[in-house]
Amino acid sequence: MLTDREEAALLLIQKERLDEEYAANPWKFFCQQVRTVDESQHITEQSRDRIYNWPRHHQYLRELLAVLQNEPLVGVPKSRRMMVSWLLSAYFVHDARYHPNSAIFYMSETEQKSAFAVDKRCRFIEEHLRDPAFRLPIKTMKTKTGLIGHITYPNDSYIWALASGGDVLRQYTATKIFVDECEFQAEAPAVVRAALPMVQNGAQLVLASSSDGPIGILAELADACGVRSYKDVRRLVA
Amino acid sequence: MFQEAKMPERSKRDVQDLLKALSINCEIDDEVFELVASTNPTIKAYRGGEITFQEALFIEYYLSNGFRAGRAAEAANYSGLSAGAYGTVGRSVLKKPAIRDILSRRIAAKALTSDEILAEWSEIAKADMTDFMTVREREDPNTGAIYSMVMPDLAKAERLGRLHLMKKFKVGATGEISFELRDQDKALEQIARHLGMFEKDKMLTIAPGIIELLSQSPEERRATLEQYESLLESDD
Repeated sequence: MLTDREEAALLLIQKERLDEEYAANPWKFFCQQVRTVDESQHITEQSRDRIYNWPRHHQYLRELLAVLQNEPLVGVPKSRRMMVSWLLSAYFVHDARYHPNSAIFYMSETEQKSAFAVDKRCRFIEEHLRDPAFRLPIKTMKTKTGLIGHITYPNDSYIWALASGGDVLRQYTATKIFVDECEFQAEAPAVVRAALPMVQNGAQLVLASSSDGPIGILAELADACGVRSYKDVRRLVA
Repeated sequence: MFQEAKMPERSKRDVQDLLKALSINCEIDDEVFELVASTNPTIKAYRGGEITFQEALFIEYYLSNGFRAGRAAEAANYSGLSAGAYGTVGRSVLKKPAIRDILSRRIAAKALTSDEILAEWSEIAKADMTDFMTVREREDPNTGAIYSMVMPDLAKAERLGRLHLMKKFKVGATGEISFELRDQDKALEQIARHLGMFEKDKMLTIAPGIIELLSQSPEERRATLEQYESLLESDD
């Protein structure tokens, strides 16, 4: 029979073991701890606060995670409501939590848009982990608009919302850079040019966007890879 | 060619004279004397002819009288000066490299290390009033009843080596003794400051979730343990 003290110690040990597993297996972390919010959903008996558990049934998210874990330069041509932004946010939260001194930049067309993602996605994930014992005490900083644009973890990792711009990026050294909706950012080519030297030194650059026709940087990269439509993807996979 | 004059090394008798002038009893054997003379920077420098007898006296008085150069010059018998001039002489003596070198070594040897200061604080913080008191049983001469009396016992404090923890001591008109120990709260505060407990950024941050986890009832804790075990077993 364990004493109270021993039982509490055992609980902490098991929590540490789980944390170690989560560090090594992001998908397990997402499925067991991460929750998302879907603002467009009607309030139902099952979900009164529009908060949902991780959509583990979306296998394409798991496949995309595998790509993110292995490739330094990733382009994600996507359509709306695929939860790709949620996946990337959860991926960055995981990286910041479990890898000290990570510098993660979330870049959108404007600072307000990227701060929205950092606040309503990354911060939300951290502060709504299913088990409160896993929530870390993060420090946050707000932007001028009142949204949280900077999250710092106890291990000194941080996630930072930045406005699009090559010069903006040139001032910092990043571990991961996510350019969200890059096809709608006039500065996206300059961002990629500024990020490439960092990628060569081990950083990761992720471009994700829905389509804005054949002239965007992601469309050009896809074209260079021989992908012009979904048919090409199927052909390449086959 | 200019040849620097070498001052003769002082004899043991000279050094003993110096020690006597400093009210230091020097009836000691040769081995101990050599040790004192070779380790004490003032006497060593005096024996080596680097400083004069007067300067050696000046150093000793300067160190033992609150670093007042004028008073040390007066005590070291720099005579024939008006009262105001002792300060000027003292300051000029202090400028000599040999004197400064000896003083810095003496001060470094006398100064407390941070560990010593910390040890002193922690002794003050942990001071126990019972080390200064004794409980004695007395018999009331009128009733014959036995009663206990708490009495100050400075002999006990001295035996325990605690007298230095006393700040004030007073004997009243009727013979009653009152004393005050050095400030324990202040010492605790100094120790806490040394440990960085007041620096906000260095404070240990425990996630509220962990506190919640450890505050669970035994039933809740067992349920959480089971849940953790099943999560650990699950693939995703």
